[in-house]
Amino acid sequence: MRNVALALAAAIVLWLGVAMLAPAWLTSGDPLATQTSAVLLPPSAEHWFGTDQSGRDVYTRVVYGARDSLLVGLRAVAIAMVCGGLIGTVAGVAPRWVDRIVSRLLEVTMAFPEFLLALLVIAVLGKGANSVALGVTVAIIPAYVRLARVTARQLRFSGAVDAATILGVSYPRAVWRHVAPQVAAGLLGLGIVGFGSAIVTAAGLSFLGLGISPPAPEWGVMMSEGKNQLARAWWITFFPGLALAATVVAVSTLARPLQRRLATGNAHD
Amino acid sequence: MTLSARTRTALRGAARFLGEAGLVLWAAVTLAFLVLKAVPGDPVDVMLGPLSSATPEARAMIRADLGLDKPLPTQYASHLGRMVTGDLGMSYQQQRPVSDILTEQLGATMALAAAAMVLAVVLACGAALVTRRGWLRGVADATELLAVSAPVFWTALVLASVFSYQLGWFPIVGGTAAQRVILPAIALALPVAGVLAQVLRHGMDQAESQPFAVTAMARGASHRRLTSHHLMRHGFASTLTLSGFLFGSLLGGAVIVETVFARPGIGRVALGAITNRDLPVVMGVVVFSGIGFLIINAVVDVLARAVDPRLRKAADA
Amino acid sequence: MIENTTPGAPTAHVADEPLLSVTGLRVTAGSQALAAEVSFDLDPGHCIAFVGESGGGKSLTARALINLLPPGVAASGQITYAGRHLYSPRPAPARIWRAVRGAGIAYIAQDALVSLDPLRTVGDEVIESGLIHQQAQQRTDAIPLLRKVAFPEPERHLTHRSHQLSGGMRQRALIASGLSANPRILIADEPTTALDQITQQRIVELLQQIKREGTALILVSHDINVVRHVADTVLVFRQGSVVEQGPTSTVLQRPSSPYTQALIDAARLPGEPTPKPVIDPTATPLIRVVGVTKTFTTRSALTTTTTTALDNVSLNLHAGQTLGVLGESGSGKSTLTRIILGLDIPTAGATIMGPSPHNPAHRAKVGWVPQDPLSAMNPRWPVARIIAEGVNPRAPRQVSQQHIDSLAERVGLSSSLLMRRPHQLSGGQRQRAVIARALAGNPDILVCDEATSALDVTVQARILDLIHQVQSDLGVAVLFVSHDVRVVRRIAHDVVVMRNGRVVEVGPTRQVFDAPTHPYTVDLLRSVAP
Repeated sequence: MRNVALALAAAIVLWLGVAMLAPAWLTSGDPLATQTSAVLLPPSAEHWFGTDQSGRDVYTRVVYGARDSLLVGLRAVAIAMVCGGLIGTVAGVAPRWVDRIVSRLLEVTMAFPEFLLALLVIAVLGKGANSVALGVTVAIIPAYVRLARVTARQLRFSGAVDAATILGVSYPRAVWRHVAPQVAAGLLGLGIVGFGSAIVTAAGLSFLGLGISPPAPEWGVMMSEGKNQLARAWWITFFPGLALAATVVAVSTLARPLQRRLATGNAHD
Repeated sequence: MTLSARTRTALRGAARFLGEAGLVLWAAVTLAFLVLKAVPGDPVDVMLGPLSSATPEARAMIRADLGLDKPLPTQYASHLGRMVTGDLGMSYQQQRPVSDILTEQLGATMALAAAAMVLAVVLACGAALVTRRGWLRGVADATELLAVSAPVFWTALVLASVFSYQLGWFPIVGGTAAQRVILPAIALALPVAGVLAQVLRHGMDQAESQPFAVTAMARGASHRRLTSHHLMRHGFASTLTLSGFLFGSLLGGAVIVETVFARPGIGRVALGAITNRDLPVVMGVVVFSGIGFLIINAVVDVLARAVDPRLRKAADA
Repeated sequence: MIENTTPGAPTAHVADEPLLSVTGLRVTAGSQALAAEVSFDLDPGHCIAFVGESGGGKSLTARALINLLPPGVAASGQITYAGRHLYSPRPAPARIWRAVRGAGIAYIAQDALVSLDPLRTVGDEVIESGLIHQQAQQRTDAIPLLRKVAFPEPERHLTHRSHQLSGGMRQRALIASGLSANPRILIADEPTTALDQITQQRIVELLQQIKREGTALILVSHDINVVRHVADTVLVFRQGSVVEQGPTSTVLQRPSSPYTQALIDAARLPGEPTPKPVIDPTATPLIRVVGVTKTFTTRSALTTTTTTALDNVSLNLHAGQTLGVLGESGSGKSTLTRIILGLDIPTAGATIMGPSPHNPAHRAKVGWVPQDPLSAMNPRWPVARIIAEGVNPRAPRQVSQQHIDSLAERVGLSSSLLMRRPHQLSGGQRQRAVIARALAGNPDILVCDEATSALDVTVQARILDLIHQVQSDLGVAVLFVSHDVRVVRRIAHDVVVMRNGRVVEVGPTRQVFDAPTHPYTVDLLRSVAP
């Protein structure tokens, strides 16, 4: 049962990977091609996910939309892992007063939820794909700082750093050797899960009309366009949303065994 | 001065709360100021909109009016001063005080959030208590994963599609206030319920694996007694760390859900303000968010101390 | 009560039948036997002890007696309690067990800190068993029970939670909770393990008293000295089977199994402490601790609290000497260790490192053997690299395999273990690994911080032998910090007794142990007297 779920999740992730890199392998259609004779057709053998109000094939658009929808999450998570990891680790191993300042600032960021922070960035920069990308990144960084800080602080006071210090290893080197790899593993684990929520946030912002503009086949934009047709054509909004939900479910399912492996740093357990 | 230990503890708690509240509010106000200053271009242009034909003299007057010709520290100080007196400024768009606009909309959002919260707690408790073992557990795990993963705007649209358009049970337009709140509340509640149920069940499982659970069974307790007298409390204690998550989900979700279901509320106002770059309103939302967070945090803190007495000690140390 | 169906009460109990009769009890996990063929009888007022090391099957056997085994573990056999069949050979239905547990057979789990529900009051926890079996109604019914186990000020602590109690108080509350439905048999799993020695002694006295009042006891313990004082019959467990069984006096005086002998040896106070090496009093000590004081300040919004962890502590450690630092938790010995290791800075006073005997141009070098080796090793590194870090701290990967092998061999660590990660080693192997790392840098001093506390007694004995061996081979000085009187007596030439951050007594081990002068030392020694 567990293995079936893992295999299914792996298949979904593989499908997404192909859709991002080589969408033409999965569909022969053009995501932007309109066809006035095939407007608002329900799902069928010819149009698996139906067609939208301009007669575009929804399946083709979902496939081509993977790149824009997922890349923004990948980029945000990668940047957050690096920046958050650095700030958090430094705070965790630094003298007490530095840590105190950083942890106070972190406490304060709790009062401004991720979605609000992303909205604020967009308020400053104006609408657009880049604002959304930056907004999502800024919004998720505090979580990464928090994790890196806690992990680094714990390891700092575990015996491994003490042992190295007694052996004559310099403090920065001891931190690099005994703290940094564990922090990185923890961040990677958070990143895998965080990727899911990052793409949902980004798609949500696009859905609200703050990101990429139509007719780009981004999943959030597709749903935004389709919501006016909800009474007549549920499939226009349903399938892009399903793709998004399936991505998050698949990634979370794969994340658990991966995180367990990352924690000890080796495979033969 | 001699104070009883209890009074001292209470005073210390109050001092801590006030300190934190001050910090958060200061951060909110400063963040709002930074947002205002970080916006590229002339704020007066933004304020007047691209179609304005105001003369340079009129612009200069507005600038002087807003204090924009003064140095930054002075502007910051007067900004702080106005915030302290509760003056959040005027909306560029509506030419009305921001605090009026937001307080008008607060009720709708609070009703939505409260309905969602009640629903989420009921769903989560039901799921966690009924499905602790057996095949039901597998079903619950999968359902919760889906509820947590599915984007709110998608569930909202699916719910609207099925129950408003296909079945016609809850019309988007018209109907009673209660009818109108049900679908948005469900959409907002589902991810919250999913996370709550997961954490609740995890907390109960953790507690059950502890030696004190074996000890309770060794006293002759039944499984039902073990759950009601021991495990449930531990489950609830573990959910109380989620206040930040709850607040974020409800506020972020409100923006989306209010838009999908065309409901009035803070979220919708915030979105409109961002789309139209009505910055004073955006700032007002930031300050309201800080206050809302503080209130939720204080409530959860009191609850947490009631459920888990170990926290009282930790806070005093 | 409508009808007396309480199985705890004797129904068809024949007078000459034992209260509890166990025949051929087997505990299994799948096809693996965790305890095999356990048989014994227990009468009221008697005590039977299960002894042996962890993993021997003694705790699982005890839990099989109340049918509360961990998931995946099952038991079968013939067990009769007061004329009722509890196993024959499958366990009886849940309804019967619910009636027997608490009222017939009560069970006190291993660790009192986690065996009382941390979210419930002491009073509620103590009377729970009485409530279930209708022998108590309200929280105040806990007071006489707590008084019975000599719990201090029961009224005041009734509404407290376990985290507000000391270790000894928790253990007493747990015992009281076991007694609250007047059980005829009490199973106590390691009731003294997490406690300091003086508290241990008091719990032993309490168990003796419970036994005198007619309750049958099943005592699960790895501590031969506790067993000696309480048990009438002993079952020695090793690797899932009973290697020896008989009256306590016979088994402990004339053990037939070498394993039992090893357990007894490990627990015995050595008659002769290690002879003291000749130390030149005029030589510069390797470590001089001079008037060290350490205070910790915690600030909060309204108050500032200062705690003194060390108060004007002085001591000297000479080349070739083993100095034991003896104290219970909170005595300040951990803080002292951290200061000597250079990990903490004293508030006043100083530690001065003397010249290294091998290389007088350099100051003496310290090697550290930590209390918890698992957390003191990088979990992602193989043991070989962990040891190599001691050889070449700057570039552990450049150390030759031969060098690492020779270090591993010196501490008796099989070279087949060197590619494992720390969490894949046993407790004794981890300890050997950190000793190898400490020795890798050719230290002049080995600081052992509770280095054997987490180990089973026979493993403990082997590690102590290793430390002793290393000292006579390499001539290093050893600072041995421990709460364990027996261990310190066994290994130290001289001893420093600490309490509440102060040195209360200092002198040659033999003199301190034979003729202690400070009342605290007297108490401490009496608690382990055989």
